[in-house]
Amino acid sequence: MRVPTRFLFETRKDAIVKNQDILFNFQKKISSGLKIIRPSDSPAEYSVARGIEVHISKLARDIADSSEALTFLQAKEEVLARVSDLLAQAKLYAERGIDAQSSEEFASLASAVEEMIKQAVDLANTSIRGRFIFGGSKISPTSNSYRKPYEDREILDQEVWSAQKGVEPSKTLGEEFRIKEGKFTLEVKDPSGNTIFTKDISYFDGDRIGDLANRINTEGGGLVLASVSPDGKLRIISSTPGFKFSIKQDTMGIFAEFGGDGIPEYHGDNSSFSIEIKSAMVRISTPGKEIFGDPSRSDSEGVLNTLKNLLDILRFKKEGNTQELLRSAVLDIEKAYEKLNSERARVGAEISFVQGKNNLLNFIKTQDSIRKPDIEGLDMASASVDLTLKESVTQASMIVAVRAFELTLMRFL
Amino acid sequence: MTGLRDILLGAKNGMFSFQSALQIVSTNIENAQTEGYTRQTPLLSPLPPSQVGVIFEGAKRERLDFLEKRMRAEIQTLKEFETQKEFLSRIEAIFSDTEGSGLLNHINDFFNAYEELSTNPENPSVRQNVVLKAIAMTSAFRESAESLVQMRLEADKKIEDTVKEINQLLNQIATLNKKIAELSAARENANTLKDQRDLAIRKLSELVDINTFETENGMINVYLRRGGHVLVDKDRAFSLQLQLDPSNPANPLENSQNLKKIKYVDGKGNVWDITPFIISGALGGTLKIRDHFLPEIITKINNLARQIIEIIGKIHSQGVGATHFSSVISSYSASDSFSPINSANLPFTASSGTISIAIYDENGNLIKTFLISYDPNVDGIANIANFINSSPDNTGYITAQITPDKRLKIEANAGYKFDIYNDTGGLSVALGIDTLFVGKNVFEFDVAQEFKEDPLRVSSSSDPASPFNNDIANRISALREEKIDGARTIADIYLEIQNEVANSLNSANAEFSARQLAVNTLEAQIQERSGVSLDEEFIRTIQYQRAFEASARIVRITDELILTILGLVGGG
Repeated sequence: MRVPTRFLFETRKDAIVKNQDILFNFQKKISSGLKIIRPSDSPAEYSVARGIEVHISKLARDIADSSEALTFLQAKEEVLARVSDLLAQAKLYAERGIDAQSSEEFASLASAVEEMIKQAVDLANTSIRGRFIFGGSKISPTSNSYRKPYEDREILDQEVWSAQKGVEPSKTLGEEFRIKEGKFTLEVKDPSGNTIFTKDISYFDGDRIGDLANRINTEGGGLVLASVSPDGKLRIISSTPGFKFSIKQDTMGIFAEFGGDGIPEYHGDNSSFSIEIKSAMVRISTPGKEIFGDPSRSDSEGVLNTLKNLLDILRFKKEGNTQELLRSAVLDIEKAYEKLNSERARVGAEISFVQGKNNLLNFIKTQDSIRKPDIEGLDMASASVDLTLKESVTQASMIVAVRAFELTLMRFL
Repeated sequence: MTGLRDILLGAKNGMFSFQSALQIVSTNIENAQTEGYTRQTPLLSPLPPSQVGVIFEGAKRERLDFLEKRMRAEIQTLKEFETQKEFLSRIEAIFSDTEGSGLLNHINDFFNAYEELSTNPENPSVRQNVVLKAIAMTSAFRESAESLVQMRLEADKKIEDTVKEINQLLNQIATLNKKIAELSAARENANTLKDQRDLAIRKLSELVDINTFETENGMINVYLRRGGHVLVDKDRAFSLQLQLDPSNPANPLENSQNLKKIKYVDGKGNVWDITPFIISGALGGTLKIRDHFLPEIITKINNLARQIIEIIGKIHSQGVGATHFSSVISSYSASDSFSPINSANLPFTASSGTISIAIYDENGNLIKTFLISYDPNVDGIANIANFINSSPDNTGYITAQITPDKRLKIEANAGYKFDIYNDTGGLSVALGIDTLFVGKNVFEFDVAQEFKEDPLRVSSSSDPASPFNNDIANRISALREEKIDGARTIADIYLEIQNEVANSLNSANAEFSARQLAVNTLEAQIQERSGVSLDEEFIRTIQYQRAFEASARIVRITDELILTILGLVGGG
């Protein structure tokens, strides 16, 4: 076979360039630690590796979500434990109340219980990064508040006013609030602030909430309209736009009772806030009513109403045999304690579930993280051997080229 | 009987012939590195018996035409795949995610941000992060699509340059044809010109798919392989021309610079669009990338972007943000305010449904919610505005109007704000109101301006009374793993596009390697016959040098013989 000189040079040159190209690409792979550095290196494997990458990224987010959920649940567990301690303490005070003789002793116990209510409200307001654990899904205003008794004896300059607390429509005010006859002053101002109407309106222990509304409508000069909602909440509105009314000098503090007298109020909602972890919804923020009871209803069970009931007894607000009432309060506290502990057990189970999920997700992420390099990673031991081989081939190719170029008659002529 | 004179004449012929042969060898040596040069061998023939010695009849080109023809066919395909390979490598880089900055990473980041919002909807910075990641994702989509359009423009420029080069080669072949015919008629050596012509034809085959046919006077006619259009007819070249093609804009989805089609004007002045006939060579490869591959990928990336706009928009518009609107204007203009929405040239269509509106006071407290019903096959945007304004529940809270450019604008009256939510028929997506993403196509794919201005408006909750809930955020983050077209997730669709590019590149690489092997084999065969071996030429040099010396020696011997005879004559 004839081997033309130019062809000899061209083929040798091509061989060297090709080997150098292979060597360069291989070095690039070694330096990146990847055998697949472009999709075309292996479209199928590249695609699988990217799929795993997406999965790892999602898992990392799920793990962060589960850690977030754990933070909330552990805080919830801690709060419930402290509320449980409060209830235990409250039971102790109630038992001491049974044996108490002097009004000073009762006053001291009442003061301690009121302090406990405030602590319970503080605990019910626990929030993490702006989200209340016991606020439902609302993050404002504060999920619970506490007002001292008779704090809102007066209602000033309102166009619309609604009672916070409902009253059983069939019960008399005397039965509901242990009050006697009383009266209040209704005052109405025009839009310029001039007082155009003032009237004292009486109420009686035998009145029902509907009777009170009727008295206001009858004696209010048609300037205000009072109504009662199905859940027993009194509502008063000004009948003329721009006119405002006030209720003052309420002798028995009945409007303070409607406004939530000395008990906590709940401002959250009834829905819960849940975090989704791998298709499982974990409730991290629950409605406060589920744990602490509904402060707007005196017949509602729960921590706050139980404590409030105890406070009322110790303050002699409730009439009757104090010792019997306190014994009954001890039973209520025990019921609230049991309910709370059942909630603690539920939260404990949720923590265990989320921790289990978290561990599983971490395990899967680790497995995926191992699998990904298996697909696209370079086996460095084999790669080092291959690199040596490729370097040798490149060197050999150059040596052969030099020899081939030397083998010419020019050197001999 | 041969006399001394004949011997002298024979030696003279020999010397002349070997000188000429040495000249040929010398030309071979000098052109050993010349591209396209064909080795020549001296043609030496013995003179007839009536004369004495050898005669130099000329130089023979050592070339096998059938090999050259096969080479041209192979090289056309080789160059077609080489061109495709170059473009596809660059397209692959656009869709590479290995470095952690590709489109897939941006898609992932966006969904991670939304998932984080689902766990922390009360955190303003998390909502801001959603918008930032959404901007990064849409920007990556746009940049990818724009890079693809830019690549079409580059391919167009390459086509323009290639056509110029083709025209130069066609002219060169026609000129060489003429000169070769003239030299052949004068019985002169036209081998060098033939080499130049062969080289020009070889280069032409690298650019475009052609056929050749040699005429009786040594000229070569060149034809377009498909279509058979004559490119060179003896000494006349037919130039290819370029013309802007209004049906082929660089950006197939928007009005933009038109790309060029290739025209051919025949001898009778008829104009032909030969673009579809060019399917091989560098020109064919570039055309395939420009007119088929790139538009297909642009369409696929556009479809994915539109799916994201629509599917996320439909969920997002079900919800409310942490802050509310004072004013909002639809992103898309209708062709006519009274034409039904589905016939008003809007980028997305809707179906019959209801849309809810929540009214808040200026402190963000929810005052009222109400809903309006619509039928997009009947109602135009003017009807929608009218429904909002005339709703019995809308007692002076908000006012809807149509802007001069036929967009729906909803404004809250003083002291109020509003939200649009719970859209059951996709009206929000059709109009581009309260959808996180907007855009008619991938080139306009963007985060809606209202969310850029106030990221807190991003929806996470479906309940206007509880804007920090997370059901909407959960639904959007769950989309990452949802098969949005029933079979594929968003990532699957993207990976399919990426795979298509990678597989096309691999096919082009494989085809290129196979053709390269065939071309190398053919080149070896051609070179074996036509290439110059310096060693061989050195031997020939020695061979002809010695032959020349021998002829010279015969002259001297004959001279001595003549002197001897002259001596005998003088002695007598």
